[in-house]
Amino acid sequence: MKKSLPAEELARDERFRRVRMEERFTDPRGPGGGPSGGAGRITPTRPDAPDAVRGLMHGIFVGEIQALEGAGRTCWDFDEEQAPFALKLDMARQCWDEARRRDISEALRMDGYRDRRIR
Amino acid sequence: MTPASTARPAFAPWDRRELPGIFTVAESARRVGNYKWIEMRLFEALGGWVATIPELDVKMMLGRHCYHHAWHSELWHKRLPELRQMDQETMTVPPNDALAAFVDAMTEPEAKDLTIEKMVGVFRVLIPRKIAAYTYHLNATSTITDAPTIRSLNFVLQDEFTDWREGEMLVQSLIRSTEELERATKWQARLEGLMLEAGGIAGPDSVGSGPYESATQPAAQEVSAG
Repeated sequence: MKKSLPAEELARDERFRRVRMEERFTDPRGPGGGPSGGAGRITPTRPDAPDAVRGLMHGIFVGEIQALEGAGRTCWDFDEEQAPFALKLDMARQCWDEARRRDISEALRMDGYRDRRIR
Repeated sequence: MTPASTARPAFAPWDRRELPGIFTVAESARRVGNYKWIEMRLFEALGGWVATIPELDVKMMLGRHCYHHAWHSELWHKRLPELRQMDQETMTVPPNDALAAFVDAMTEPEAKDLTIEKMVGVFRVLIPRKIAAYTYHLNATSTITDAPTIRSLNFVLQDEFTDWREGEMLVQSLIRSTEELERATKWQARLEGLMLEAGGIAGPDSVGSGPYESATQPAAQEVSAG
């Protein structure tokens, strides 16, 4: 396995569609456009609020996966002179944390983002 | 007439720990250094593979397991100075070149359609060897002088058993055709061959080198370790 994987080689299953950053910001459902747009704020009384919440949660979900990959690659890509042992241990711990956060996002999505407390 | 002593015995009657163990302090430290080395290589590889694996459940599992092995390496890192090895770096080595070659081979698969090979290397070849070597150490070492190592071994083995079971179930769920089965067995055979040459994660005597070694038991002062 090589060091320093290009971003376009990050592996995803067929459910994912890769989009460019500019597409993301011009998507009417995203923080850049639409009636709920602007700084990602959710206004529950607006008619498109459910879509906005889904968009926000999707962004968090994707971000957790990317953070997991970034932390994992830090463990692999660098030798101990570049990344000391203690840093690698922290990055490994972050892998676990990001994976759990992805689990939370996915569990909420599967549950339809219903109003329930996470115990 | 001397009154009967009311002092409690030095050891409780049910305490069956024994002083002698098979390993000298130096041998224990050598093994612990080997353990740290393989745990590091494993957590680094799992971290690197996360980005190359498209299956979401596998990706997340590796994120979790990556930390488990990092924590194991930290336990061994902290144990080394207690075994009179203040320079942890020089002790963090593979037992031989063959094990380094095994790790190089195990971490070769990179493409996103090679998840089976990645998982087989870890869960069908490496982790069973780790469980074997750790169990041998647990059973062979002094239950008094090497108790801190035993405590860590028990923590580590609990993770290894849990992770191995999860990984093996995953491999079984990934193999769905005879072609995939052939890929898995072929890859496993290649890695087993390299591991055979290495003798295990601590070298040729990873699980002992033959009959019970009581004849070579070191003197009591040699086994004392903090």
